[in-house]
Amino acid sequence: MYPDSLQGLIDELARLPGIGPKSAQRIALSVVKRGPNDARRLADALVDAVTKVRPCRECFSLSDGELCPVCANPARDPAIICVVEGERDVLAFERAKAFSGRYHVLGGVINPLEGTSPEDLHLKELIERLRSSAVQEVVLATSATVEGEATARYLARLLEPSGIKVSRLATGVPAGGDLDYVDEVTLGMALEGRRQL
Amino acid sequence: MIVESLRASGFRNLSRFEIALDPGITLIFGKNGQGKTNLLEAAYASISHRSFRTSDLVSLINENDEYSRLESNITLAGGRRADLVNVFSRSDRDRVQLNNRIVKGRKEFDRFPVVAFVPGDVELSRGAPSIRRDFLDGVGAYVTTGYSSLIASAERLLRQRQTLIRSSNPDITSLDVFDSRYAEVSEQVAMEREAVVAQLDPIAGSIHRWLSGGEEKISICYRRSWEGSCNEQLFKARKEDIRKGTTSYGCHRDDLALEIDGRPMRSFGSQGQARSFAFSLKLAAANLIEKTLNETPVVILDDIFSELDEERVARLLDGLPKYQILISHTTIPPVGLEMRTLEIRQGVVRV
Repeated sequence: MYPDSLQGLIDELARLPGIGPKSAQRIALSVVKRGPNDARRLADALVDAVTKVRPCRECFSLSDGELCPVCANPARDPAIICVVEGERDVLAFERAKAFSGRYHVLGGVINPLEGTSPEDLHLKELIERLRSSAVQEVVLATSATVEGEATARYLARLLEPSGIKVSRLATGVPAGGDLDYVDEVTLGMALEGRRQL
Repeated sequence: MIVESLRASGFRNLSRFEIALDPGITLIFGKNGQGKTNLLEAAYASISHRSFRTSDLVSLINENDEYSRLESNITLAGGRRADLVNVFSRSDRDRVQLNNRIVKGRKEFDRFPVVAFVPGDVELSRGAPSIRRDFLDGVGAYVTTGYSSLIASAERLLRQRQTLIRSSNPDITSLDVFDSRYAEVSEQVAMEREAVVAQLDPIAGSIHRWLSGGEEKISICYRRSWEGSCNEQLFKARKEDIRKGTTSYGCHRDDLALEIDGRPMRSFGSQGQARSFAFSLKLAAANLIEKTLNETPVVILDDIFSELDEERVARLLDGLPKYQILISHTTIPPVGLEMRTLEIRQGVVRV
């Protein structure tokens, strides 16, 4: 029903995550209507990003150069490393502006069902980093899922011989939230992890 | 809670119907194969989005229909009203609406307790341990907060561990981690299940004493599959587990031991005793749910009259708590009891 060239664009767009067939149609039609100048800008931006962005040599977060902005920033504390599952988690922490240390992106979690084993994660590189620099604390910030928790335990075991302090991100009540709306499992964990005032 | 009315379309062999239900006992009668159990199932599914017969919910949809829709109007304790709509779809996602708002997940259903006793429940005392664990978990989901997500984590961890030990060269540290996590969660599950059993046991005992006219004494007891530390036992069994591709210890291997007059039900109970044991357990579950939620469950009794002897049925109906009860039978039984009747013939409900 659509001309072949347009259908080709729709098919390509629909392969992207979060874009269903209907959204793909809408985006494709809008791109066509906006004309060749806008399309070229979009194409350039796409190619530019894909060719320039690569994993940071240190932390495997996304970067334009050898080092990501965090690793390149001398003001960031090298003594504390926050271990996360993916690049998006780094952005979440950066938005929060609450962390002044550095990151390490694992690139996933240990998940035998999906065939992800420890060798598929950037673990060796983490150990290497810990060996070559004066890191005092590792914060395990994998998500609170079955696999995220298992990965955190795995890392804790791996790091035990090094004597470096290992901590786990707390689970609890969201800021500004009504206790009423917190699900009972989270509330139970928040109670377990309570601290003295 | 009371289901005040029920509307259904596209449900199994039943023609589209709308019925008002009594707060007391409603008897659904009709010859075999007319749709009595289907009607009970519709009532059950309309407040639980589940079936007591199958986990394949597509089979609830009439073979000529694309989807099945159940609507129920409910009055909860304290007079609050709730309207539930359940849509089971062949090709689309199933949908649930509570008071005209779409709800996701199963959590909302914990507020609408329903207990069904069906002929297959005789398996509770004789069948595989998984049947008894499922029964306990069903009760636990109503009476313990966070129970369902705990069970879900246990199942997920077990699947991960199983995949790991069946892989060609399992990573030892990964196995250590999944074993210790699964053992930890198994201990938690066992504790929660033991807490449910501790509450259920005295209630089931006194219900059964009443049901059997004081003749029989029953008790239930949770049996863990491990002694001492689950993690240590899993560790010791690892070599063997890897060879066999199984997981020898954990909450998936636990059982509920049933005893009648001090002897194991499995080897000593008669068929009739197995039925009334199961019935006492179900009724105890209803009672415990009521106490915990402050909400009376709807009780569904499929073919109860052919399941228990007349004396027990008479005693039962006479002494049942004031629950809303739906019963099915082939005829109007000769028990002098006030009940509303609905006839069903070839899938058509006649009021």
